[in-house]
Amino acid sequence: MYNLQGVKELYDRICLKSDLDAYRQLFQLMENPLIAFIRALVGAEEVAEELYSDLFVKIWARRHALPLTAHPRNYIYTMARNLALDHLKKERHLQSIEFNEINTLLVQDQAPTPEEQVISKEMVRKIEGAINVLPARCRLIFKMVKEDGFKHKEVAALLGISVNTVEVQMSIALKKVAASVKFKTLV
Amino acid sequence: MNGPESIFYKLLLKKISGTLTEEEKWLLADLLKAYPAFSEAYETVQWLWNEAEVTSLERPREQSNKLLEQHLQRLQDEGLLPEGEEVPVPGTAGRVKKRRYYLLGAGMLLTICLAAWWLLQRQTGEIFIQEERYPNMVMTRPGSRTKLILPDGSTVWLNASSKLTYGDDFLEKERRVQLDGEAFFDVVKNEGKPFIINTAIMDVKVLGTSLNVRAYAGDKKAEAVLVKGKIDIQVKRRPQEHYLLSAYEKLSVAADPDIHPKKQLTISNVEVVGKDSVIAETAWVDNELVFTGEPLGELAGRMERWFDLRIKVRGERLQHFKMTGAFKDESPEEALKAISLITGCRYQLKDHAAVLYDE
Repeated sequence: MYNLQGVKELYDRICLKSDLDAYRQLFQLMENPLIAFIRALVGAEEVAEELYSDLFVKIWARRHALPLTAHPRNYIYTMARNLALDHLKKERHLQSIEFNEINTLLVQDQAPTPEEQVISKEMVRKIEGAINVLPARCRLIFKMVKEDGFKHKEVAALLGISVNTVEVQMSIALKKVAASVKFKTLV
Repeated sequence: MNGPESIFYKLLLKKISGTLTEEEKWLLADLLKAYPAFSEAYETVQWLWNEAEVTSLERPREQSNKLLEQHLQRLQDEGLLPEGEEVPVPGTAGRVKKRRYYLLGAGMLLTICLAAWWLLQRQTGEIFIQEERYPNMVMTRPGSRTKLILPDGSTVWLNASSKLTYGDDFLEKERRVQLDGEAFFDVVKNEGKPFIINTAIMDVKVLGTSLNVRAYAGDKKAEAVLVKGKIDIQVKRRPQEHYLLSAYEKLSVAADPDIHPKKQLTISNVEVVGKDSVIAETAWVDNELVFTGEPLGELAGRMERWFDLRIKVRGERLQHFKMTGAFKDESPEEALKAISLITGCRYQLKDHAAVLYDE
């Protein structure tokens, strides 16, 4: 899950105090999820890295003019989304987003001891498998909701789709996950 | 799709997002009662949401560090970093400069840290061993040079636009550093732990000696000059061959692997200049840029780093004009004037960019 409080603190330190150390930390804190997000939009990892660097150049260059929002993460993601769309328009003359594959998602039982685990390792693997074969757009939406903790409304705004679409895609994901372990009752 | 299944998943989604109303709660309970088949799906999704963690495969640590480093370099190149700000790098870097000031207090602190580390390690077993090792890094900007002492006591002078990194396991089995750029090493003798310098083109292995290594990415050649002792050099392109160098010998390797074999690799004696036995290759350590019979085209590259200038040399004649001399306290302007006097060319200097040209 995202450390939202951490993002907010670092963002404020950058904007108010030009804190380079906070900037470095934010760069590393957001790198994994945000590059995954950009890559889902633009396709190639190298391009995503470049755009990520562009994004952070912007953040630093405009640090005095950035809005002191309560949800800096959404603001930063929106900036990233716009950079990705600009890139797509320029490079491929695309007007709409196509969704590309994202990295494999790993599922782990958080139960501290084996005795407390209510579900077998085998089933965890099946669930993980089901998640990773979801269609690209569905998997991205699932990741943003479950791993990154975005609200449906926020995902819809970032991806330029309706809240209804987000919810339909989420339902599909949940249905596939549930179906992957259904065999249990048959055995 | 508006069957009971679709209503069930809509409600389930609301449940896990925490937006289920009181009325919907009852509806969901009724559905689960009416359709026992849904209860398994309900439990699986509940588990996934509350008991499980979903994480993306992380990007490799080296890739992350490299990205941050390149990014900070870019900020600096674009003039966005405040004046006097060192390029901060992940790991212990950025702290390297401070380390020198605190050297006196460091001994005691290190003892304490080591004791704490030992205690912790005893308790937690192998956890510490598995931990990522962050590289230590020192970088210099164009026009600046620095001196540092490595954990083994060896001294390194780092010339302009250079980067030296070493892992936290430096000193464990061997003493290994990575160099991009130019550095003069005064290596403390330690037979049991060879000192190894990795560069893009070659690896230099030493036991205890003074030597200069120049291996800038993008330069036409890489060089190693030995002042005293013995070193063993392995050129990456020719892994089965080793070159042993003695004092005052220089090995020079062309960066371009497609160049004529005879010109690829040369070993020569370095010229000792003047009565103080100054070697052109290592004079920079004493803040002197010395060159003997060096084509202006190559010298210009060294001058760029030395003075933090961009220098263009126009025309074949000037490119190959062999220069001998030294700069010590000269300003860029004075150095360019000297070159123009010697070669009979003209020069222009404006905003850190110079052009040398024939009329």
